[in-house]
Amino acid sequence: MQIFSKVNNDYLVVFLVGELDHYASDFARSKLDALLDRSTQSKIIVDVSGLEFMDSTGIGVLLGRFNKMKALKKPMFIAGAKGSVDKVFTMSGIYKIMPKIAG
Amino acid sequence: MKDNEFVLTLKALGENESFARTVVAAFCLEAKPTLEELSDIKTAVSEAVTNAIVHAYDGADGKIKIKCKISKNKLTIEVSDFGKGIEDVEKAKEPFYTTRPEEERSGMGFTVMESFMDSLEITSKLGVGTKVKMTKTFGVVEPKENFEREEYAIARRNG
Repeated sequence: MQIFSKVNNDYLVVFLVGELDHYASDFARSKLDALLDRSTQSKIIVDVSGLEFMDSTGIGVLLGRFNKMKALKKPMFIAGAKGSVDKVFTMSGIYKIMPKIAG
Repeated sequence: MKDNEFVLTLKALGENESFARTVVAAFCLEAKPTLEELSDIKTAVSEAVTNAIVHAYDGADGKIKIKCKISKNKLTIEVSDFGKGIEDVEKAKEPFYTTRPEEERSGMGFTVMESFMDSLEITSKLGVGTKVKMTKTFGVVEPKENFEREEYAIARRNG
């Protein structure tokens, strides 16, 4: 999978592209941490419109990052989930803490 | 289509997660599933295979057996491992329950399998292994199916 970011005013937007499963999770975790740790923006959007596949491993990865950002009082949002990726997010209840927003 | 089946044995490696779900999806194509049914199946297979890699063998060497059968429009998938087994299956099925919170596992694996498939049956014996059996019956939506298969093929090619 690929992960990159761009800055949009107060927001750091991180893009997840490809397939996020257990195999990709170590890479996803360390790449996201690197991007989030050095960002100075006050809010974070995780754009998953390029995510073709994600299983429940992705929930664990995002919750882990959410807890780190919570300590820094930086809210996180999820944008662009489609199909079964959106179903996994909805089922997990993650939208209650990382609200779904329009990309 | 004729009834069909396959059995596949894989090494319990993270690299094989994507391979396993792709093989099962490819096998299902003949039954003309919708795109949504296909991605539900891929997600459920990925959960089962990941469980075997992460929990059954603790990342050590081991084998995973995947048995798939299509009869009429009903798909049956069995994912078996020969690892340590699950102590309390009912507990393991609870949403958010995980034995590995420190690894940021979500504890949603069985919940996902249960809701993405029509049925889920887990048999496990300590020290012997675990078998996850899932079924899904494909809906019959005649006029749309060719288009959706084509769309899936295109998505795969571009993916």
